[in-house]
Amino acid sequence: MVKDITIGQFFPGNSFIHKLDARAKILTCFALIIFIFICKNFVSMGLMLLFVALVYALTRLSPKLMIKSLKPLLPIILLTSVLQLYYNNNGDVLWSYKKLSITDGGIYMAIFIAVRIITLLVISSLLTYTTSPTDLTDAIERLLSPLKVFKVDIHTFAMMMTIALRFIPTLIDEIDRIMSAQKARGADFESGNLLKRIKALFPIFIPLIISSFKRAFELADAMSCRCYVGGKGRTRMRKMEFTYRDAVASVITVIICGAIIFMNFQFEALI
Amino acid sequence: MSVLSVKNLKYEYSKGTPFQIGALKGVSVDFEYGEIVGVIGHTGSGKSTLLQHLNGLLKPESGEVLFENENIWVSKENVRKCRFGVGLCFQYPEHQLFESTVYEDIAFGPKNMGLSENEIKERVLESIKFVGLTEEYLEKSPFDLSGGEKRRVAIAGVISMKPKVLVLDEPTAGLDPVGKNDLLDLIKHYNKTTGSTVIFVSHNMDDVALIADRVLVLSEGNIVMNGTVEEVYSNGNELLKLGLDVPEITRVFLKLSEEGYDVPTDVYTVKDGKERLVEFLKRGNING
Repeated sequence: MVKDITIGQFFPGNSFIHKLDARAKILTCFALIIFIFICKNFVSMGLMLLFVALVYALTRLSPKLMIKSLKPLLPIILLTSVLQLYYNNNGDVLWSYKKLSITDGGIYMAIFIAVRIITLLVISSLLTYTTSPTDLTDAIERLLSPLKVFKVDIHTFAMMMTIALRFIPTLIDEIDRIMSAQKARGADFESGNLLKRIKALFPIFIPLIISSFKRAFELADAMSCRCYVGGKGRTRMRKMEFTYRDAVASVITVIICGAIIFMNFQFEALI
Repeated sequence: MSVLSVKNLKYEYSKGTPFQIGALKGVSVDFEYGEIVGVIGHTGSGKSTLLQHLNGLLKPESGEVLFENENIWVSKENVRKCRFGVGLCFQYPEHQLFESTVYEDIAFGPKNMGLSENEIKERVLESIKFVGLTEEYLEKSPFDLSGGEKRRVAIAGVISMKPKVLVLDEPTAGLDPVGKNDLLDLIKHYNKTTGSTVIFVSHNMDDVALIADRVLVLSEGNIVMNGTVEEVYSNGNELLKLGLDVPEITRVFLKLSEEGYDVPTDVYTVKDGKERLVEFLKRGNING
């Protein structure tokens, strides 16, 4: 179960999307995420969803992967949709019970919100699925580098992010292992009231925190052994370069964003 | 009657992804009361997967696990009974320590069994003795101990449940030679005094030769050899083909035999090796 969540994971590949420059990917994804919230009706949202689905197809990753990682988030998506049903009272009343009434406007809104959240998740997954953590943090470091003017230590920040991302799978493995070890001693994580369940987490988190600290110290030692002194004067092994691909991706994104604004004006707004 | 048996067990990790390692492809094996079984196999051969099936941590995709002739997956109670009846000690068990004192940590298992305070105390005292530590350790924090001591405390935490079968995944990994020999002696001693079955995984063929009564060899999810130490180690060449090591002394004899000397190849302890070699030299058929 813990291992089913793939958000934030990287799946190596050789597609057009994989080959895009990480900076271009971050910026286009950022633009698309902003434009999800600019979409005001089903036509513009549909266009966005279609585009995102197309990009996903381009990555040549299995659609099952995306569906599997959306599954654990389904309750959140459903909850938000159902709340919309209740709060949005525009349009004709279809069904009512005491103070509660469901309108066709509410139903549209519920569907709209669900699509919006799913699109949002797919876009952010697109970024992490196709970009290696190193590229991702490298790109963030470069994109934020103008902040150096204000004496912000961008390099340390980026290094912290790289390390944090790098250790997520390790931690998941570790949780799995410790859970098994405690289960073998009869620990029970699945029954009892809330207090009992919270208490049952101690045998997992204490060893986890201890080994994380140990690992952190070891990592710090290993880094100093290789003469790591931070960002000053460090050169890079790989250069990031914008290529024609990034130009194509950026232009297409701009066109899609333009089309969304156009559709917003052409058709009736839902929100 | 076997204390624990596995019938046609199949299991695949992460079905459908490229991460299919350590799968089991139809494993059947019986474990008898009171024996010590060594499990050997290459990394990814399914050893750890098999061990985690033995106490119901993993549910088999097909096939069954019988603990004292009862299928453990029939009911929730059976699984729980099996968890306590088959004590599983993971690799680097010191990573599971979490309580503030050694006493509390060893008592974790018995507490989960719902035993009385007195009984828990009795078991803790008994187990700490079994692993060769004194009662002074009980009030210490487990995190102040040395690596070898932590390992012992962790093993005591499993022994305290008085399992009928003790399963250990590479108990000697990362220990120095003295610590290793002590731990092996301790396992043997535990097996002799309590009559519990012991199943342990090891990469070290010498360890297995030293204490095991029976050896299982796993390769790519199948049991390829199952027999006494003599039987398995006399197939030294086959073990090497499977990418496994053989005891150093066996290697010497295999090489001698390869060079054309008429020596036995079923030697796996240094003591036996010495006798056989002396015998061979007495026969006096060395050319040149």
